[in-house]
Amino acid sequence: MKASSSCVVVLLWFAAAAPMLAQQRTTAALPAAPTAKATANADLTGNWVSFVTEDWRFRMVTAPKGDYTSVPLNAEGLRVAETWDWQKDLAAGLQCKAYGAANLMRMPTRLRISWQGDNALKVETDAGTQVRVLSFGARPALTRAVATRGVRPWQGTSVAEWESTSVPASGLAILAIPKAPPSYAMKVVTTGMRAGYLRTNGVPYSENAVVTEYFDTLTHTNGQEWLVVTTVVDDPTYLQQPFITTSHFKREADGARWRPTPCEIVPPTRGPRPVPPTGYRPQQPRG
Amino acid sequence: MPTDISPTMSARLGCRQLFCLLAAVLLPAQLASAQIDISGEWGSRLHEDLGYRGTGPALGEYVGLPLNDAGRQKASSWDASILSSVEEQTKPHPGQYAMRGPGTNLRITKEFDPFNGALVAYTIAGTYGRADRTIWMDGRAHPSEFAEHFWQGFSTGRVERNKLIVTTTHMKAGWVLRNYAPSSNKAVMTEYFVRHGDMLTMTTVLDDPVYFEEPLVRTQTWVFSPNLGVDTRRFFEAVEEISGRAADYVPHNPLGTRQDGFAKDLALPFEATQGGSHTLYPDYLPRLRQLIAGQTSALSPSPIPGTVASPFAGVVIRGAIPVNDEVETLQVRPGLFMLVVAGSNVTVQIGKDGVLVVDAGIAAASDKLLRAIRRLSDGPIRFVINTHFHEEATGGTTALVKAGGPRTPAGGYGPFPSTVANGTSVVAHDNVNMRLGSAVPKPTEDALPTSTFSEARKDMYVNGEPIEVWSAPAAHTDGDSVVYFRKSDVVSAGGLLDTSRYPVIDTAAGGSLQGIIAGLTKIIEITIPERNAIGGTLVIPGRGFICNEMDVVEYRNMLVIVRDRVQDLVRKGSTLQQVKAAGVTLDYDGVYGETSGPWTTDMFIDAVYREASARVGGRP
Repeated sequence: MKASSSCVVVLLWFAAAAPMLAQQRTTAALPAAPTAKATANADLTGNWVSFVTEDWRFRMVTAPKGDYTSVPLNAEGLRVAETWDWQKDLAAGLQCKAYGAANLMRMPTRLRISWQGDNALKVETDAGTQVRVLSFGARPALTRAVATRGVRPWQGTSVAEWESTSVPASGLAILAIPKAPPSYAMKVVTTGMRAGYLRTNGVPYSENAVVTEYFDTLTHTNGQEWLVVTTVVDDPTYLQQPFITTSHFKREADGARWRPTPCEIVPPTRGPRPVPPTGYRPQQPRG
Repeated sequence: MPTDISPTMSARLGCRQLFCLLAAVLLPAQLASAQIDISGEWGSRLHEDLGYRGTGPALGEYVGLPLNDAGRQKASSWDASILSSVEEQTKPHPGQYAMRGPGTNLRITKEFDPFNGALVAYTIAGTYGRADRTIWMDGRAHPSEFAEHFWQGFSTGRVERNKLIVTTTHMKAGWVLRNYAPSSNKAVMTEYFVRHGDMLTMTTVLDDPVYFEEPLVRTQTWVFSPNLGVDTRRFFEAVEEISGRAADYVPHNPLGTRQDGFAKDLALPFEATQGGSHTLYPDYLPRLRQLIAGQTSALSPSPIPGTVASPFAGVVIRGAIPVNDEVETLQVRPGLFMLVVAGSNVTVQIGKDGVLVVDAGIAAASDKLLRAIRRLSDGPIRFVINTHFHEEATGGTTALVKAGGPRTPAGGYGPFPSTVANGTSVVAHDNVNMRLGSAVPKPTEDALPTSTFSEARKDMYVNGEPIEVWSAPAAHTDGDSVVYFRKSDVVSAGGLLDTSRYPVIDTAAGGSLQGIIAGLTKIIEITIPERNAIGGTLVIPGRGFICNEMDVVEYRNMLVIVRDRVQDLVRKGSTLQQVKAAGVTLDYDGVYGETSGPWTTDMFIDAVYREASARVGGRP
């Protein structure tokens, strides 16, 4: 009896208060949604430099044509890769073809990351003097080049979000709304890129490629901060499976070593084709 | 309306509901704190460095590594034919490389405390050669620096923000590429695991100042793949590959070997293929291109653009053994212990017969040693075995003998009247007795051996265990013994083995490098690893950490390699100064070298040089 009386009181209170609350909503401005900058739990901004301890011979030099080791190219990808001619690219002014979003983080470069407003991060590279804008929230409008001339940008358009950290609800947890733990990583999905190279020796990706990246930071025991970018390239046109690489960058105190250079094509090394040649073989010998 | 719920029961239900509500609120908070779970089956993605991780790198291909000169020297002296030796065949990939190895699909399993359900550990299977590993999650401390080392080391993990951070110590001397670009047993590895949906990414930071100019950072990625084929084949078996080799044959390349095949094959400048910190940054590109274009040849490394004062600042590397005031006790087997006394090791066996001690530590620490022994057993101290005559083996003998009670000579009963019927018997090679007996001032009677031998072996049976005491002729001194506990399967190596420094070669007392090598080779002949070149027979060194066969092999091989290098130079007529300048020990100095103290690297090279000169008839 007592319980049912209490319920009635609560319902009446809500009924009386509802119009008043609605009025407040209309007269007072809604609190603005927190910005990406305000909700950041990881500091990605600053100066970073590539530390090329992986795929050195594909990143620090241009590998010989035909050396596609590690890249899961499909038959069409292999065919297109075999048509690569660096001199033709040079003549056609396609020096930036390896500096697109699908490979930019693999280039030996310095990064300068800064907030552009409250909801976008700007990533600049001194290698190739490229700029990526990672926009939180809505997909950014087409660039002027795309709108006017139909030319896709090397960096495509990138949508960023603080990675979802959903909490598995189990047992009694379903009775309450689980509070998601803070996100410490940024997820970026990039589409609309101009076709380019996954490696400087002409390993292709197509305009259909979708690049998903995860930006993580860590601080090692010696105090050195690292930025770790995991890149997943999905390209059904040229790849058998998503191409996954992880690139790491060391934080630098300042931009003293920032040396912008234009996109360039470096001729491949004169080495012989690798034997056995080409491509990705899922079943590698062990040992 | 009739009801069968009493007011008391109603109140109880209310409490229960309240409890449920609280639990519902609190549970998510608990889950939120454990953001990463790495368990499951994970498929490797070899989209980086497939050539190295699959078919393997070329000799001399060190690109992408921050190797220092010592690292390069060790790598270039490696001869792949060493893998045909029986001891080397069963090695799995070491912790420094295993997670990066070829096609490493993983099965990661959680182990829970059966009583409270807490996560105790992750176990990882699937790495090459069954390099199974355990990551302890229960907050336990890392073991003593004197504890045994394993291929996978000892790993502990903790969750911080969205990462599982794993710290690994106690790894064996290993490699980071399969062309034997090296990593030392002093390396500390930190792994940062992070999950993004069904992807598991691990960033590895390997701190190894012995062989790197700055920490090596690499990443690996796996994709969640339930029901994956994980390689858990049986452990390796050693077989005879090449018969007829001498027991101490150690294939290696001569000092100064230039592994340039890779550079030639890919038309890369040799310098660029040799690694080094400066080759890993974009700043190296201009020079690299000049080298490729043949526009420059002189080596002038660009400065490392590091942003911390020292890349290795804050890294705790276990170096030379500190002379500790306290005695550290490590159990080696049931009834068998290693006691670390003022920097040197004492072996203590306890049982129904009483106490047997191998080496007595220095005199100044004998009280502490006795107290430590008494914490293990209050039985009579029956035997002290001195493995050589130096202070760290004999200094505490008098105190131990006194603690053993009055001696009753066995005089007249049997052919050796000096032997002891009651009290403590002191066992040593005959030459120990001679050297102690001729010492000035002469030691007390209690300090002298009562039971000596001059043949190859003396047999004992104490505490239900057969014990062999071998002579190691002309090794550390001219009176060394090695003690083998046959039932415990433990060897006490005395002065022949010192994992913290080069072996002391007391040439004035009849010691020789060749004798040490022979003694270590004999130890290797009797040691048997349990599996994958770990475990099995354990070896207690005179100083340093508990070893198994592979650690003794590493140490013996180091001595053979240094001997051969010095010998080669002596044959070419090099002076002692030229030998030192050639860096004959450069690749080992970070592990064993000392520039001060009673036994320095210089003194070691002096001794090796004199011996080599005598052997090849070169200049002294």
